Amino acid sequence: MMKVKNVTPAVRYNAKERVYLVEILKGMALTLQHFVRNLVTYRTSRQTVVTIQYPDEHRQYSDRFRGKHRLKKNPDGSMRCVACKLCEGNCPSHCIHIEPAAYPDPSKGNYPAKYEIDIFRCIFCGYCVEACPKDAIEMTLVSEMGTRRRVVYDRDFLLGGKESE
Amino acid sequence: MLIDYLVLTVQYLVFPLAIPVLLLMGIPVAVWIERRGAAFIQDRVGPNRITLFGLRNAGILQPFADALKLLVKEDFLPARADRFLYYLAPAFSLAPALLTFMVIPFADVLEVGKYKIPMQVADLNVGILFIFAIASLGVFGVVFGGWAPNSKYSLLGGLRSSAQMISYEVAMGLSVIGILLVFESVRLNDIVRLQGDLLFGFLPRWGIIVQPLGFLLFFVAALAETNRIPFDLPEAEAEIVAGYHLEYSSFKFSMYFMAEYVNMLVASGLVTSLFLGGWQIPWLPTATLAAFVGPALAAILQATSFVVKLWFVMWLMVWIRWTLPRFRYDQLMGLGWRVMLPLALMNICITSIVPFILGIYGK
Repeated sequence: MMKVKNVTPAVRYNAKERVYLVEILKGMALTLQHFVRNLVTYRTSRQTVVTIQYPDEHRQYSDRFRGKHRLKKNPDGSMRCVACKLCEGNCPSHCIHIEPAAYPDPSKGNYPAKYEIDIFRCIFCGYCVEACPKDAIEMTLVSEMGTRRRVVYDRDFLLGGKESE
Repeated sequence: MLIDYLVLTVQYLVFPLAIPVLLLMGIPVAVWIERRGAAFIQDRVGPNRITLFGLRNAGILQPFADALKLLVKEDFLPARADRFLYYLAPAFSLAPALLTFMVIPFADVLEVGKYKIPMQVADLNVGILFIFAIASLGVFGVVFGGWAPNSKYSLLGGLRSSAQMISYEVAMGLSVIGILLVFESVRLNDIVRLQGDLLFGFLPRWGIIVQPLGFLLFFVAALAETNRIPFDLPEAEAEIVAGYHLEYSSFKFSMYFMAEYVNMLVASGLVTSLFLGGWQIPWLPTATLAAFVGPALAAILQATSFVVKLWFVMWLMVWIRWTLPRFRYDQLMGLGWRVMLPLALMNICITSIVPFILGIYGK
C-alpha cells in the first residue's frame, strides 16, 4: 500500500487568534481606514477611489490598442487601398469582403469598389493591418462601436473618421 | 376635553401609523448607507448616477428607483408552487419585523400637565418577551418562502435559515437574561430609564458597561437573526444562488428585501435600548433636561439621541458585513451551540453571583 504523506501542515492558531475578536477588530480597522480615506479624498485631487466613471471618464488606452478599422487616404485624397485582397486572405474570421475595380487610367491600377468588414465577425486581431503592403488599413483607438444599424462597415464608412495619430 | 382626545389620538392613532412609516422610510437610508459604505470600503464609488430635477444627490434616491423598478417588474409564479404559502410568505416576513419595533421607546414618557404619553406605540410590561415572541415568527416567512416555490435552492436556504435562526435565538434569549437580571425588568422603558443612572458617580450605567459579554453575545446573535454577513448562510450567493427568496420577483422580493432591513433596524433599536442607553443622553437625566428646555424639546432631544445611536449600530452592521467573510455552515453551528450558548450561560451565572459577592443584592 502506498504511504500517504500529508504535505500541508495543520495550521496551529495561538490563543489570540482563537479568540477571533482581536483579528476581527484588526480587519475592521483596515476597512474603516479605507472608508475614511476614500470618503475624505472623494472628488478631490488626491482621490483614492479607483472607479472610472465610464461615460464621463475614459480609460487611457495604449497606442497599440486595436479598435475600429479605418482605411487611409493618400495626401491627394485618393484611396491607398489597391484591392490586393491580402487582408481578406489573411483574415482568420473571414470578415473582410473586397470587390476590386480598375481605374479608367491603367497607370493608376486598381481600387476597391466594395470594401466591407463584418464587424460582428471581426475579432480585432489586427492581421489585416499586418498583411497590408500599402499600409492602407489601420486600427484606431475607437472602442465604442455599439450601434443598431451598421453591422457591416462599408468602404465609405471605413474611409471616414478622423486621422489617428 | 378636546385636549384629552388630542392626546388619545396621538397615542393610539398617530404613533401606530407614524412609526411604521418612519421605519419604512429608514429602509432607503439604510440601503444607501450600505451601498455607499460598501463602495467606499472597497475603493469604489457606489450608486451616484441618479438625479432628481437634474440634481445629483450622491445616490440617496437609488433605493427609490430600485423599488420603482421592482414594482413594475413581472410577478412570477413558479410552476407547481404552493400558491397560498407563496403569496403569504413575504408578508409573514415583513409584518413581524415591523411589529417588533412597536415596543421600543424612543424617548422618555412625555409628561405634560396631567398627561403621560409614552413615546412608543405600546408600552407593554412584557416588552422584551413580546419582541422575542414576535421576532421568532419571522422565521416562518423564510421557511414558507423556501418551501412554497418548489425549488431546491430555495428549500436549502429556508432550511439553513430555520436551523440558524432557532440556534441563535437560544443564545440571544440567554444573552439578554443578564440585562434582565441587572435591571430587574422586562419593560423596555424601565430598562432604558435605569441606564441613565451613574456607576461610581461618573460612568453611565449602560448595558454595554455592566454587561459587556452580554452585549457581544447579543450583537452577534442579532447579526445571525437578521441573516447578515458573516451569518448570511440562508442567502449565500455563491452556494445556493439567493436562498429562500430565489423564486420571488417583483414586489414580493422587495418585501423580503425590506424585511431584512427592517429587521436590521429593529435589531439596532434593540441593541441601542438594551445596551447603549436607548434614548438616554449621557449624564443628562430626563428631569434635568426637561427643567432646562421643557418637556417637549427634551423628548425631541432624547429621540435624536436614540436615532443617532440606532444609526451607529446600523453602520456597525454594515461595517462588519463588508469586513468579514461568510462562515462555513458547521462553523456557524459550532459557534452558536458550542461557544455562544456556554458563554451566555456563564454570563448569567456571573451576573447572578456578582451582586451577592459585592453585597448589593436587592439594595
